[in-house]
Amino acid sequence: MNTKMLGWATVIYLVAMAFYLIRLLREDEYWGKLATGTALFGLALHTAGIAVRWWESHQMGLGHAPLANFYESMIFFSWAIMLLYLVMEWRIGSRVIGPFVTPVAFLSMAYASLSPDEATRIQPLIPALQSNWLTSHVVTCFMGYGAFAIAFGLGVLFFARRFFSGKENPAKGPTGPFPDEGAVEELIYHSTIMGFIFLSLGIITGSVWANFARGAYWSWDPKETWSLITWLIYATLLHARLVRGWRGKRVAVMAIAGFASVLFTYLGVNYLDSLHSYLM
Amino acid sequence: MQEEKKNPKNPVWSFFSSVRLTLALLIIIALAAVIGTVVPQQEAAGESLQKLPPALAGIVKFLQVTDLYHSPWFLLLMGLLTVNLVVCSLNRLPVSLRLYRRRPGPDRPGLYDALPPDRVLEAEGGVEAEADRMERALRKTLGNVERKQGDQAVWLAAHRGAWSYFGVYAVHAGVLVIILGAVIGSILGFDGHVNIPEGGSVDAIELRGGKGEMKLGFEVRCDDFDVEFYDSGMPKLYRSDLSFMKGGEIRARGVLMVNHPLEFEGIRFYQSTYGAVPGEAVLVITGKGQRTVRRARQGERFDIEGGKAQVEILRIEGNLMRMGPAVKIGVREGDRALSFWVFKFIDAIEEQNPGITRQVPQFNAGLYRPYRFGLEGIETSFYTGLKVNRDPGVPVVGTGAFLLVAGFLLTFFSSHRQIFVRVDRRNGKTRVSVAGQSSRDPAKLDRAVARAVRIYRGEAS
Repeated sequence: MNTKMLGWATVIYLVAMAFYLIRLLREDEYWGKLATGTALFGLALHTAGIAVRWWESHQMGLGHAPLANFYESMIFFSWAIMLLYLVMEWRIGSRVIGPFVTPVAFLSMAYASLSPDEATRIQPLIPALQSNWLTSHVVTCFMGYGAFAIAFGLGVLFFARRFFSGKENPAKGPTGPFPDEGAVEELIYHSTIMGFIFLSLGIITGSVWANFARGAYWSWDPKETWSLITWLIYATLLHARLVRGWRGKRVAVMAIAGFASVLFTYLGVNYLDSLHSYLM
Repeated sequence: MQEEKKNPKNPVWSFFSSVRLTLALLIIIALAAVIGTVVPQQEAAGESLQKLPPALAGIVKFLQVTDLYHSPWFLLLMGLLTVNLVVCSLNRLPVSLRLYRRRPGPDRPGLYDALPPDRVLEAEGGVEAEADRMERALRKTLGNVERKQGDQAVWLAAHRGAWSYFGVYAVHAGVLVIILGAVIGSILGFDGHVNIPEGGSVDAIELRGGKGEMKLGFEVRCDDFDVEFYDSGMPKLYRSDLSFMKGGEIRARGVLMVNHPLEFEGIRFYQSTYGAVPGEAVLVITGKGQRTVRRARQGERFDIEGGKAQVEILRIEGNLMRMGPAVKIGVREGDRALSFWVFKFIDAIEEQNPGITRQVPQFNAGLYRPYRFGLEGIETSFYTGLKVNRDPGVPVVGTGAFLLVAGFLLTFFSSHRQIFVRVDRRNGKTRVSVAGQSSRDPAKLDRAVARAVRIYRGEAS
């Protein structure tokens, strides 16, 4: 039941992505409203899917939040991206980021749906995961990843804007349907702050949990280390911008590089020998 | 230090007060950390190291890449970052203190010159009365209000959130306290491991990194170990029932599970691993018209032949040479000593290798005549693997993490908002001009100004 709902949400996100693109190319807010509506419907279905999955796990007598394996984490990653994106769209009153963020959410859902059948089934928790810290750790981490995904989408938007407007635009005025560079960069900065705070909370909750589970708040496990590497990259971005006055292109490049590190923390580490390997 | 601050040319001080150094260190530490996740670390490194050509292995050993996070050069990088953080913060603290204390006057020239029309209000009442009303509105929105009385005008200054200038110091202090906690833990704490067989007890643990044994000062007994599985074969539960004993007396008991450590006399125990070891062998001894069953562990001895001979269990093997469970028995009678293997599946082995017990006397369970030994089975017993540690740095690290998060909230979600108001007479009417200033968040300031104006007008409370 829940996997069907989530499958439909995936399709709906693809449609929303198409509407956002059409809106961008035709510069017609009619398509924009359609895109937002579709995305909201997708998120509602997505949320319901997660809730049903949770409820079904209680019916099975397992009763844990659907945040316990790789499949469930991809689903939640996508959910966090869409939630943060739609909040952002509402706050800034612009749909221009849509075409650059919805693909990440869609790809995450699509990749999750490719998982083998037994991975999509609700599984009981192994002893290491039987902890109250599971939910807070996963939620904070993936809200952080979601915010960084939005910063990444904005970084791509930054360069797409330059590409479409031809050469570098020193006037930094609006170019066609795109907002000006300063505004994009400001949004990158704000998304990064959001992600940085959530990632910090994710690392802290993970450390508290590890201190109960493994008897060490920090073990230099590859996943821990990569989360620290990601943290250091974004810390560099924030300091470079706040103190050294970096703006524009450099910040956009850092947002894209930072997200590469996020993806490696999330996915790449599974190929290294890790204490987090139960998530494969 | 005061000396150095007065002299900005001091090369050491200016080197460490550079944010470029911070950026460089953050990137270098990140890169070093990457290497540590690719190269096998500590115990895992031994095997891979042998496969490398000797020259390369020499370099790897010299740079201590296989224990990178504890290598002197990595600790040096962390040390440099710590000094950099302290110096940068001390360098900027006076600026923040000045900003925190500074209260620019509400009667500065030019402050009210370029206000948008909605920030200049006309009022019916007199200057004093309108100023009173505005003062109350500001007190409700921002709190701290100061009033300045002029000949023809009244000025008001209100502000809130001056603390936000210190958010960044809280973040940096948080990082420093976390590092301090890690140092305290590595100096005053210890970290080790111990395996306890079910029913057995230990009074010492093996310290990590080959640092030898450490006495606990008490005994830990594993009364019971349980492992449960789901139908799918995934583990469901690991559970050790432990008793903590001193002088043969039980002082505390507890159930140890993953995620639920136990503590005794300041030392924490964590469920880490478990394993199965061959336990008691069940031997059947026949001869002289008698059949006796004996249970014995490896190394155990018992008498036979009315005390004339002694049997010792030399070895217990769960699967010897792929021929199933086997026990090596030694028999001593006076000066005569024998030893031979007793297999559980001796009949099947003889069927497959006819005559083997004659050709290989070691495999002949009837060597000590007239007795014949048989092996009914080997009972496996479990041991529980515990991680044992004490880390007095943990509360310090926790405090650091709290400071860090509090600092984030101060830095990113609060700002110093200031509202300045002038109330004067213009063209026979009372005029109220509202100006604002924000350290970081102009949108939040605008909302505060709008609210103050609404309250002043009586549209909100």
